[in-house]
Amino acid sequence: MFPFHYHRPTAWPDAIQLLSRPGAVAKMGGCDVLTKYRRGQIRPESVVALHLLPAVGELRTSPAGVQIGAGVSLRQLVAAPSFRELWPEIAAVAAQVASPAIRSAATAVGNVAQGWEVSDLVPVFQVCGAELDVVGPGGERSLTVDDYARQPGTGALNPGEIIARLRLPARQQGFRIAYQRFALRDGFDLPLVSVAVGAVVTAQGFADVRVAAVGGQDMPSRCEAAEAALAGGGDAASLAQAASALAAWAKPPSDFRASGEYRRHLLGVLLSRALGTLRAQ
Amino acid sequence: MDARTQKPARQVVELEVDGETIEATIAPHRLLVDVLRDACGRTSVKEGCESASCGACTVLVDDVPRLACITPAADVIGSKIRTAESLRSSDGRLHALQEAFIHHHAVQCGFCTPGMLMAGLALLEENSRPTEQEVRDAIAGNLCRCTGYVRIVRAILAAAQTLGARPERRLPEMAS
Repeated sequence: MFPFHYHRPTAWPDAIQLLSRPGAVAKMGGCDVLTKYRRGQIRPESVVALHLLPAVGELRTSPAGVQIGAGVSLRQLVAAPSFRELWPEIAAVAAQVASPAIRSAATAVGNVAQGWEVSDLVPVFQVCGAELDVVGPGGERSLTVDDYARQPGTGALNPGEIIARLRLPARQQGFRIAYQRFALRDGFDLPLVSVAVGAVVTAQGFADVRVAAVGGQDMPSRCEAAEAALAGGGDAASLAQAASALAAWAKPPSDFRASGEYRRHLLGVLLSRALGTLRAQ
Repeated sequence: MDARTQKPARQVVELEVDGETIEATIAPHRLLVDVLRDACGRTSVKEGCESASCGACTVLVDDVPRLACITPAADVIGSKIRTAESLRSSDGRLHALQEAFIHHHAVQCGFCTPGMLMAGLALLEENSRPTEQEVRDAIAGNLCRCTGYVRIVRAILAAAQTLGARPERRLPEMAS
């Protein structure tokens, strides 16, 4: 295996400086970076571990919002009673990611940061309006998970920039999330396609509906056409329209696991199921 | 400066493995799986896929299952590492999990077994009365290409019983 310099900075300015160098790669849990390294897909000059930086392990929960530090593992997130109480749907999705050994190293922020085309958590964060706080040579800035996920990998970050934390906004009264995924097996498999829906659910129907899908476009994306179909409150006709709109919007690939046509069909089915779940909750 | 023209300096580290303090001289990019096997003599730690997909290298780091193939050894300095070598007692008696794996024929080629044992151990230490589904979830990241998993699940459930779990959860209750 190719050697690399392994840095483990304990101060943010040091980490920013180390990551500003050419060939430097950031690592938190290492599940993505070291897997790519072992498969020969990357050949870093240096790897900069971020887990010793101040406050990266902090998980702050309050009704005003949640802050998930970049070092908080999926295992920690799922185990935290305060988080499970505020966002049980997200905790349930995180508890299904990969395997116990992966979840004890992998982080919620890393799941977003790696910029995969397939993720269980990214669509859920998209419908929640989650944001990322980024620190770097130019100071601090924030961007939404939705904006971050517009390009693959870490393309949304400039050299030296580090995601410090993910923030979830205060939960609106009546806001619910439903997530539906389809994978070839239940355990330890990424979804072929998945759909996350977030909406304020009232006796009159849905309001502020957000729909995000995995497997429809190159990256996990919000689907405005499906959201628009549901903007009127979500009567039976509009539910069917939304499913059709999502299927029409999707441009899924065909490969040995499933045809594009099948995936497009699945997306509509999963959206219908997710909306049914929201109403039944 | 290119990292490969300026070779990263090796360092002497102390690792706590199975209750034993082991000194090793390692390059900074060395991964735990190699250090455990080569420097610590823990050859139960298997390297299958080399890329976080098979679970054969599962060890416990501070009681939590981790994949040694993607864990830098430098990251676990100061942590308590446990491998399958820790299961056998000093007088040579096997752990209840090991006994159950033998009794239920949960071992065929044996390559996945140490990882399965450690994943099972992590489960039973957290949850002494797992359901069949909880056992299956606990070993979801551990691939076995021989047994079809049924006997492994049965063995972990049986070990839970032996270790003092509910007597009423009998093996015939298993769905498979």
